[in-house]
Amino acid sequence: MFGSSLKILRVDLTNQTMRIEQLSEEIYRQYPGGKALAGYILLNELLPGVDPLSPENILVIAVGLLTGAPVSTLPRYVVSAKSPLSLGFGQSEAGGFWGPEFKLAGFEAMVITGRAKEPVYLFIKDGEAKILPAGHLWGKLTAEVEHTLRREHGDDRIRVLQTGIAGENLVRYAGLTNDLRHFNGRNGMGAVFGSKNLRAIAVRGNGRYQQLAANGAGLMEIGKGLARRVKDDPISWELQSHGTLGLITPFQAAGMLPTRNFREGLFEGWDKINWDAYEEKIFTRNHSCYACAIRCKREVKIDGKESEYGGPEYETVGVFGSNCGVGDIEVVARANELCNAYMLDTISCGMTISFAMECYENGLLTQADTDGLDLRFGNAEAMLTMIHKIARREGIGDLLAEGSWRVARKLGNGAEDFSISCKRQELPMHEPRGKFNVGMGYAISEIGADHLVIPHDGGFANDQTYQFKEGAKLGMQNPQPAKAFNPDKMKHFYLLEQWVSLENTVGYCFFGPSPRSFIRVEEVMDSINNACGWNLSVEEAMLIGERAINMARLFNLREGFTREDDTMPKRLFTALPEGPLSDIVISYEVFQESLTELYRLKGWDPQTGVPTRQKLESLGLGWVLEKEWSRLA
Amino acid sequence: MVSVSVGGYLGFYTPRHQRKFQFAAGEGLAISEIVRQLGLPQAEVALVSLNGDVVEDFSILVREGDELKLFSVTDGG
Repeated sequence: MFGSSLKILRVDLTNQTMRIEQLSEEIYRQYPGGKALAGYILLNELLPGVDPLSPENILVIAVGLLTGAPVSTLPRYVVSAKSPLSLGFGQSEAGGFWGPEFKLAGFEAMVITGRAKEPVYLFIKDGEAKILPAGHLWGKLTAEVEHTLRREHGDDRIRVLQTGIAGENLVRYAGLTNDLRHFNGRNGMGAVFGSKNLRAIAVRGNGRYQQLAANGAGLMEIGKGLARRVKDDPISWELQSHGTLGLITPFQAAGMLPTRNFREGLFEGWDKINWDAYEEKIFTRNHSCYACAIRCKREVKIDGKESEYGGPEYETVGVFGSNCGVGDIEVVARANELCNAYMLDTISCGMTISFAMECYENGLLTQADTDGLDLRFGNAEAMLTMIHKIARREGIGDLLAEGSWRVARKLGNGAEDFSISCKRQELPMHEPRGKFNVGMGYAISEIGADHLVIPHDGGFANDQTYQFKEGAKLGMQNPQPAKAFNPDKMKHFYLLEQWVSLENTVGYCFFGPSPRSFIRVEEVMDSINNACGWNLSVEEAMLIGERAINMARLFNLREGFTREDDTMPKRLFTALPEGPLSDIVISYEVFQESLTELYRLKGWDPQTGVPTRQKLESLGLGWVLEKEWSRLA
Repeated sequence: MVSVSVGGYLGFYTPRHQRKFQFAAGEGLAISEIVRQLGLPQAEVALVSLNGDVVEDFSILVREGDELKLFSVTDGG
């Protein structure tokens, strides 16, 4: 056994048929789940140029080699399709419990094609699947759907992955949730569900991961050791102590807390949304993903009652707090609850609202456009009302449901500069002017602006940091400061991106492996090899990550993306108005030189960013050359 | 007194994981000395804010009434 059943469930919603396909070990070894397997399937089966909201789009849901292993930080699965937001490679990972349950129900991936005539949901149990009517679930909030499915199947342990009303209404940044508090937020995968008349996938699996693993006992030992170490390691200790909420205070101190649509880096209300405020006003207890001893998630109370939807994490606090000018953690918690009940990506939703606020303050939108709302920064009630409108596509919400990039093109007159997005997807809450490689990640990421492409700058500034020492195991040399672009930093990027891509392939959470977190490089490799028995080296593992990156790149090139798409919004090439970063400017010319250097390191044409024939062959992607080269070259 | 706070995973290293401290600065106390007395590994101190300004020189002397904030690296997630 090598950590996988090798089974792919294929669901044709148009014809209401299903079949199970068996992968070969040879293919799985090159594409061992997650991002890599999804890329392999999409590149093989999805025709370029399809409308992402048409029946021709293909949804792939894939767990990783290690997903469901009894080891901390291994709950992840990826949902992939052509993105209705970016129009490129769509990819969104989530933790929670759904991925392990799906794996332990006997599957490695699911491929969903076509479109059901009427709303449906899928029910999967221990190797068998059914397509069932979902008319009674359509139009319901996510909590009601989850309760209904558990009640109807008489099993409280069913795990439900679903979109919400936002997905039904094809909001381009509608997401997916499992257990109501874990999210495939980005890239509009919920809208793809909605376009297929697919509301939910309920899963129950009684398998045990150890039965899939080459050395299940070895994995158990690794899992026990890491669980014991969580409280004894500084990084996992901090994640357990504060989750991601510890970021507000240092970002404010560094002048890099995204404020009022990235116009500023300091927020006067920062201490009303930081961890101290969170703990005092809304926090109730920690929560966990499958088998994870860190327990970084937060549960909260709203108006004295514990929310069914979990608590906001840093990204959500930033985007509905400082980024919309709202200094009130209780309002932020309500915004989080609304997005999760409707199933909107909090990042794109908050950023589209802050975009609209900036348009409003500059006269590009008026109260006649906003259904009478005074949509200035800081207006908490208007912000909350806007979430309802977007999810239901009511009034101006119908326009904003398209995302800031499309609205900006419609409004014109300079609104384009207020859409803070890359490849049409809005930025997460990390300020590139304080950590340059995060900006490079936003620019080059195949899915559009994403903060989880590499561990962030700052930990690699001297050779005595834990992060740098772990990075050195991946080949990293020459420490570099956060606020710099140079060839050494591009080499850092090149190596770290492959490692994170591997994480997204085998099923790790970003908070598991080093250099970002506490699981050492050799422990990651031990886990992989105990699962698959292949005795992979770090170099071979990095190659798996690099292969997945290149497939996503090829997907986008087929869709017409070019070097011009690998950039940041104009605003980020200017200085912040005040604070510690006010003298920092990212030079457009230096950014372009660095991009060229990064292309060169990746084995891509330095000018066009197209992978070279030699590179693709070295990655075992010759089959793509035969299929696609005439289109790409 | 100098008001000192630590953030991020630096709190792991301090006695009883405390995050706020008061130091008597006398004629001036180097930031590196405060870092040492708190038991923090200096290499892991990624951000230093002194009275609202970001400083990078650990030999800078802090004075009575100053506010010093020390943070570990601020990574994503």
